[in-house]
Amino acid sequence: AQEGQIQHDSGLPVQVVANQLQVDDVRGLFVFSGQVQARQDQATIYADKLTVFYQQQGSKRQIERVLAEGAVRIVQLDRVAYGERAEFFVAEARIELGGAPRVVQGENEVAGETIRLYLNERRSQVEGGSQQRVRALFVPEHGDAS
Amino acid sequence: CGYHLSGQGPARFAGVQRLAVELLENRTTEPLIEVYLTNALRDEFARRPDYELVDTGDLADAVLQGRVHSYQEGAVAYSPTDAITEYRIALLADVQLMRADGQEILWQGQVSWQEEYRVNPDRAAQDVAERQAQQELCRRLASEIFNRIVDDF
Amino acid sequence: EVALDSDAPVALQADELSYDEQQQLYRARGAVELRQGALQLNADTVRYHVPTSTAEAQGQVRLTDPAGYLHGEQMQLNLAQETGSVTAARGFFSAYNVHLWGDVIEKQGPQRYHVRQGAFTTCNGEVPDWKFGAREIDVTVGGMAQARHVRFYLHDVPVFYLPYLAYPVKTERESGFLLPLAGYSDNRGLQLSLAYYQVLADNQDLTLFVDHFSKMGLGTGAEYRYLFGGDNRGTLNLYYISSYGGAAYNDLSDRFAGRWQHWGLLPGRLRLTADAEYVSEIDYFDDFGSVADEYDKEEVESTLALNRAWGDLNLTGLVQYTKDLEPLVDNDRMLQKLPELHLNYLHSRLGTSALYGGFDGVATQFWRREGSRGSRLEARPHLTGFFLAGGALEVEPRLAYRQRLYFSSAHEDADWAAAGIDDGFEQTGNWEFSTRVATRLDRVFQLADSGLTRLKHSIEPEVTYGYVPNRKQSDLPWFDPADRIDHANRLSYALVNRLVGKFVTAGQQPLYRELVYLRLAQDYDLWLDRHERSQRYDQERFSPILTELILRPTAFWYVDIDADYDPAGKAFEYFNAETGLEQSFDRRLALSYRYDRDDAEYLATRLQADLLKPLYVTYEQRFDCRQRQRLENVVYLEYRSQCWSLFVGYRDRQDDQEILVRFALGGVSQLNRSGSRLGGF
Repeated sequence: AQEGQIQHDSGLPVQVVANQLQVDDVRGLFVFSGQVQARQDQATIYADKLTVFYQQQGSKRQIERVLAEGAVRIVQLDRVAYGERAEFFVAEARIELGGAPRVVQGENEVAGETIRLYLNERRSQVEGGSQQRVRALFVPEHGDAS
Repeated sequence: CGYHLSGQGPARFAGVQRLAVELLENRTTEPLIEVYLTNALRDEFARRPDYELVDTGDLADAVLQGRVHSYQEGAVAYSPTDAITEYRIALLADVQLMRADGQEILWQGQVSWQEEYRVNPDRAAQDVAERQAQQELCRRLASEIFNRIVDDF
Repeated sequence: EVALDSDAPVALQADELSYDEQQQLYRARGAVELRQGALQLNADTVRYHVPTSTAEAQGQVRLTDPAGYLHGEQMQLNLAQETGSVTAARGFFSAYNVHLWGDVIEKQGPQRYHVRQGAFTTCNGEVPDWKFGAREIDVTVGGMAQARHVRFYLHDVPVFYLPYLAYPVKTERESGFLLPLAGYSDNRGLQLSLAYYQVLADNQDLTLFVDHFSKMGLGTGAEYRYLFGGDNRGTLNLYYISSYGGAAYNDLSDRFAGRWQHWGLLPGRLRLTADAEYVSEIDYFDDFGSVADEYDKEEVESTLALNRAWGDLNLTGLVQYTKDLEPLVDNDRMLQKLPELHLNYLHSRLGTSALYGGFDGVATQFWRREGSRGSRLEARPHLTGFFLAGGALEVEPRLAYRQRLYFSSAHEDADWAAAGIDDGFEQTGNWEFSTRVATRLDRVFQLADSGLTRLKHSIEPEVTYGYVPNRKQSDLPWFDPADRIDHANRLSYALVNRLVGKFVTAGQQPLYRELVYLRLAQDYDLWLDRHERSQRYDQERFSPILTELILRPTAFWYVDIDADYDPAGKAFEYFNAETGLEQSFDRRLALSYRYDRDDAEYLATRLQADLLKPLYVTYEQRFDCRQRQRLENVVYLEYRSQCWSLFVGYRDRQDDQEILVRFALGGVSQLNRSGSRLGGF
């Protein structure tokens, strides 16, 4: 198997750093903008703008959805996902990438029109579209193939 | 008048003065051909001033080696009663001149020659005629090989 | 076929792709294209498992690589080992133009395929002109296609069934399959020949022949080819014919012929060679020879030789058996060499002197059924000096001593006894002296800057004086002419002219070609100068002038003229003129005129033309000018379609007319490959 098996625990707290933060309690959202960095467990999301949607449950806030926009980069160990948009559905532990998305892991690379990453099932789904077919490039491991 | 003695000019291959001629390999089913041709080649190089012939073991600058590739025999003349009167034998040799350190091939080529001998009711005499034709063929082939190697003008 | 690089990166395109990290499995759907190095896989859906680099493709699957392509409905493929299998498959190998169909085609390696319930052909087009349907076909690209339970189809009509069939898929000329040969000849009557090709192993194959000759009998033959240990190869032909008891050939029964050719290296750097040929009846080749070289054969000779060399020392042992094929010859008196040993020490320089020594020894045990037998040993050491006088004149004195020892049973032979040949042990020895004086002058003419840029003219005059003292030899046994060495006192002189052209084309190595080779030679007998001519069978003091002229105007055209002109008789003893022009493999002309005062005046013509493509014509004529009669006319017509060819051969000989028709698949072009033709490499 690959070294550094990527495990992601969406239960851990998320630290976010940005130039500005706007809070809208009525609609239950925080909007970070300007060189945003959001870190959870081993995953870090870089973007121009990050919008966090949450539900107020009693005294605690429960994050439902995170939307990153503008030069989005998601880095997990040696796997990096690029795109213009990335939407993270916390409950389903699913990330939807759009805007010429690309996922690069070591020498392997996958690109398409939309890329869906299922973090817990460690599965991903890439779809082509009219402008952009799915393209993938991967290098067979040496020696262990036979 | 423009004619000069051959073999006096600069050596064809730089630094090659002393030459060894190895026994050729015989890939045909005709025995002794490689002996006749190797002897003829050694005579050819020994008599000419172009090179100094040395034994294989000695410090040779270059080594001539090669292979008798094919020996073909066929009838070329028939009598009015359609009986064979003359046979032709053709020899094809692959020869190469290697620098003694075995790194560089100085010259490489395929050279052929042919001779004829007459059919003789006395088959033993015909065998002797064939062997003499083989020896003459090897002398002439050696001369052709020598001339191909020194051709450089 | 280009080896696929199983380490190269794999590029994939599709409409949709999912990746399961746990199983490391990619699932691609929609016009999927997967590339690795030179290999490309297209299909509707592909599952690719990274660790084992195995791909499963479904729907309009197409696998292409430099050697060809494999199409099918469903395919498993292991990219690392280049193995896999395809269902409802269709394959094609471009180098050999081989088409394959099959319920399943398994790719068992880069070069090997196995077809289940499929078909095979080398014909293009939707409906191939011919094809083999078979339950199983094993194809080794560049080797062999072997099929089992075979049905042969012409277009879509099944024509015959064969339990097994091998179809060579080698080079252009060697692949193909011999179908029956039909023919008729005045002597042999109707002829039907079948050839059956069986592959025994990677390094052995066997061709079986069955020939029916209506006026003669049934011939059965086999040609077995082998290659052992990379360096021991050979061909063995056997042929046996039993007579139908017809009028013309009632004596024919149980006629047998065999040929064995072998070249091989044994342990201990021993070289074993064999070129053996045997026929039970002397007129075997008259009846079965297919080309003049064969049907006019005057003897069959078998030689088996062993050779070993140690540096310059060379030892060759051989046995030689000869059988004369002329009628009225008593083969029991034919001298056989059982065995003959040659010991040769190659010409070697003595130290750094100008002297070279050498030794040639031969010992022969002569045997024959009837008549005298005996053995002869000859030893001939020789010494040669290679001097350069005045830096210009090559002076080459050579001294040899030829010692001969005999042991014979002369008394058993009336002729020998009558000729006064002594019994038992005899010996004689004699000196042979010669001196060669020669020189060589060159001159280079500058002609142009490209094309034929320079011409070198070289002149080699050479004079050799030879002297052999007289020796009484009449009491020596007579095995062959080498037992009577005439005394000699002779001057031989020769002049060789060479014109060599240097051809320069931009960016290439210069090419040298000998345009003109002219050699003039003559002998002058000094002994006759002082003795009566009659003492030497009326020979002349001046020998005929030997002229040899070889012209090579182009690399594909040569003219070769030999003439021996007798100045005393003012006539040619020999005059041979030959020319050959070869534009391509299928377009050539060769003419050969050979005049010999005593025996023959003969003209041979051979023309090969491909002007009426796809019809290829070969015309040969052998003409006896002395009695102005055609000895033989041959016309071959070959219609070459894309994947089959039809041969028609007509041969008109003095005592036989023959026509042969053969239908062949693929590139095989040997027309008369009936079993009676003892092949060989």
